[in-house]
Amino acid sequence: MGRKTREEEGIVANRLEQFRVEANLSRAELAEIVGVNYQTIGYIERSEYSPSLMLAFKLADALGTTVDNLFHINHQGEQK
Amino acid sequence: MNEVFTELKTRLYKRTTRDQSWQAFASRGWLRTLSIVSVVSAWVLLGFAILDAVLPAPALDLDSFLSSIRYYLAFSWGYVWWAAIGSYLVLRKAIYHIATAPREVLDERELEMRDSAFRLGYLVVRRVGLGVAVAAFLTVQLRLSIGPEGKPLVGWLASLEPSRFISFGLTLLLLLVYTAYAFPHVVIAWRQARGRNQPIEPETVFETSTDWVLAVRRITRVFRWVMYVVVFLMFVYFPLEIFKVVPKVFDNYGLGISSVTAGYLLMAVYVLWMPFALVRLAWLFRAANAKGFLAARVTLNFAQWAHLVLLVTYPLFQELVRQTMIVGPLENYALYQVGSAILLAMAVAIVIFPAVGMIAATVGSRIASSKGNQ
Repeated sequence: MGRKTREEEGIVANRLEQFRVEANLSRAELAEIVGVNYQTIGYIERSEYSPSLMLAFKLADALGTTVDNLFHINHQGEQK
Repeated sequence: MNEVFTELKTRLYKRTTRDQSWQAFASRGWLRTLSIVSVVSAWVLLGFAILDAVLPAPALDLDSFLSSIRYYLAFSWGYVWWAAIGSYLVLRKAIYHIATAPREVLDERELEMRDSAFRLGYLVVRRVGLGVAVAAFLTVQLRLSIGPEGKPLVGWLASLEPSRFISFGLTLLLLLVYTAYAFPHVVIAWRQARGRNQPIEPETVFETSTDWVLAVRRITRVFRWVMYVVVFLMFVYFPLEIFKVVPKVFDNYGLGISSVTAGYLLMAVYVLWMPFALVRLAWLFRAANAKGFLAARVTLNFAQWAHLVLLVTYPLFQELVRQTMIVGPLENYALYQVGSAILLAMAVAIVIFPAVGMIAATVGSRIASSKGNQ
């Protein structure tokens, strides 16, 4: 029984795009607020990058929600 | 000193992220193409260096097959270096200097990507280096025991020119340095391409005369210094040559070696820079509201086409002028004088048009940069 691979552990899925659109913010604007490159927002929205706890809290704060509302673990085979 | 470099890198990073035109190269296709060109050109250069060291010394017989191969190698060498350096320079911009920017200006994803790219780059270079070293060691050992064509190794080494070995060693060293610089960029670019990197559509607006004035002032310091050097060589050194203050080494239709060198320098910058400038401007013109940049576009198009036409027609016209003297030196002398004057004007235009094109393209991108920053 070894450690699970990243794929087996699942991916951190999110509803960032939904919250961002509801907040009427562009990727560039949200990136400016939380202090990252605009491309990083795109990567997170597409679940191609899992942000650090600090960035997750910043994003949640910027969008007026909580981290657990924004992010959840999507296990292999589950729907996003 | 370290602070100065950090400050410079920070400025470079901020300027590149502000300049929307560099996003032209942030698409998946461009990132992959540039990465492939960078890697392939490095391997081709290694192949050239090996061929150059292995092929027998050029014989006096210029029509021989080996001489032809050597000629084509020498001819292609510069283009491959151009591809290698050009792709690396554009890759730097396409990934927004992530590989070299100070830590303070990068976000966590960029830092993670950079660290991982350098780690992978180190591992790959280490393994490729090990492979090359083992192959070289085995080759020498084999030659020590067998020797090519029955000759002992010492005799074989003595039969080769030392300059070719120095050239081979220098090329290897240059390639090593190139790989150390370029490979992390290639890894980052490839990963960004895989991650469906999405460039933001450019937001351009109308250009005004004030924009042009401001943009000309904002032409980068490095580019300005290149221009200063060129102008100095052409217009300051030239009179010194005429009045024999400095020796006039070479004469080409009245142009001294300094002017010719300046012209080549400018052309080299132009040839390296212009294709990428065109792509960047084309990207800006794609914007939904890109109704401006007309002057920059027209000037750039005129400069590049005129330059191309002049480059092609110059040798033909030169031959025509030469023929006037061969056909009838006395009766065609006036015609020859006029032809020479036109040739001189063409040579000056060949040197000046790239500068005009560069200024137009720089103005376009600077306007975009200033607008994008507002």
